[in-house]
Amino acid sequence: MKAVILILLSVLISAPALADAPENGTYTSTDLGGLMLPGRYSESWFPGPLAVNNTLNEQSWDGATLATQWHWYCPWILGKLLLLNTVNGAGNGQKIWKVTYTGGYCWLDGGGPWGGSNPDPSYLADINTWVAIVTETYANFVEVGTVRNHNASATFRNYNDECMSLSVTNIEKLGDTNDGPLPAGYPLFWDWVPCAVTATPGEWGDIDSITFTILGCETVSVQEKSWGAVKALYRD
Amino acid sequence: MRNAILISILTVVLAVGAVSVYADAPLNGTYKTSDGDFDEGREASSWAAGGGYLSTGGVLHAESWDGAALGGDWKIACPQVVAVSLVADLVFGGNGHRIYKIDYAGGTIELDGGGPWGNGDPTYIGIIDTYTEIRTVQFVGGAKVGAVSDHSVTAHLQGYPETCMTWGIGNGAWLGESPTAKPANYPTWLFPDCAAGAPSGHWGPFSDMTISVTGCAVATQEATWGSVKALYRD
Repeated sequence: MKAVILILLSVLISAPALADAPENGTYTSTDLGGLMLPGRYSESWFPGPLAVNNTLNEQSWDGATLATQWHWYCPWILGKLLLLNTVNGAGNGQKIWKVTYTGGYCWLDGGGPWGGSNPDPSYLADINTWVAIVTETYANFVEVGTVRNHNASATFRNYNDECMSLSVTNIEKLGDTNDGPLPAGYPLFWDWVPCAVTATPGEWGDIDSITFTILGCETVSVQEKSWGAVKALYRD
Repeated sequence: MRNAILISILTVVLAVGAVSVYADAPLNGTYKTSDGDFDEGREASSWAAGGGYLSTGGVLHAESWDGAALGGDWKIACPQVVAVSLVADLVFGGNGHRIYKIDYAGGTIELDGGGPWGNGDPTYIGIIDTYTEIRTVQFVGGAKVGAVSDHSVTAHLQGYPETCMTWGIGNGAWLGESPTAKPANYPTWLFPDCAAGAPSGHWGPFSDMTISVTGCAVATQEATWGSVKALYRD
């Protein structure tokens, strides 16, 4: 009986750490009419575009500062599959790739629209899946434009196992280090291990049209009980 | 020497005469909305009777949007969905993503002559050769809550050599669909014959576009007979 009471007490003591789960719901970026900030990305190259181990770094952008609301970082490329190639003999056309990433993290500021009335300062999730569709257009064998769609799923730390996020985004590549250095105001190039800033070539651009869903998160409500009330539950 | 001069002059005259047919071809180059070269746009795609967001038979209609009017810079009209195939299924327990490849057939792309590619014609009409959309849809509890797309289109420009082509890519997103009423200032829903008035469909933004024009003739300068002769003085 004492063991049962001790377990109950430990649950009551540990439960408050789970009291501030992010609020379930679907959030969209401001360009789609929502409250979520659009963003900017960089992808480090090892050593060129869409190469294995290339690492993403995506951060919200409020027009002045990066990563005040969200930050997805360190998923790296496992492999790619060419879905379509219309490039002709003159070097003009398009290529569409499906690119699979692994690893990485999703950080959310507690002040974001998912924070609710009693948020944690921030939330951290481990990325489970990350897939990019990359459409490149070529003129005379030179890549002159690239758009991407990203989709990702992640599981939040410190909450129930079903507490997850899903996201889809649009991306436009704006430049790469073949044209010049990474401009100010874009996320720095990171590597996949140890997930930190690195000095590699890479590319950068803008992120918008975000649809971000939080689902399955449970805030465990706790009721304060007196010691007498706990004992009363387990009278012999 | 005189024969050589005559042959040279004839060659130049013939060349000038031949290329002048293409004097109004659009200017070769790569143009981007992110550089401010032309306007981003909006899309409204109709659904076939009994169809839906991922059905064949739908008809795409997209136009540039300058904040006040549609279609000032470009229009894409009437490519029709002929195939929808699943590329990847990442849905578990009703939650996750599915990626679809959507093939279209037919349709036109119209570039306004006042755009950065303009070179004298009031408009340039491209006959669409290929149109592919890769659409990623997000599901929660089995219901669609959002979607994004990569679009790619190739077209040859009517009235110019087959090499004169345009290549476009852009991003799309899902904003809403029937039975919710389509907001004002989105393109009309089209029937497969390109007539307006189809009753149902979806809509959203069309952004992050790159258009390349390749293989079109370079504009020529008119020259007097005297100036041509002056190039070949003894």
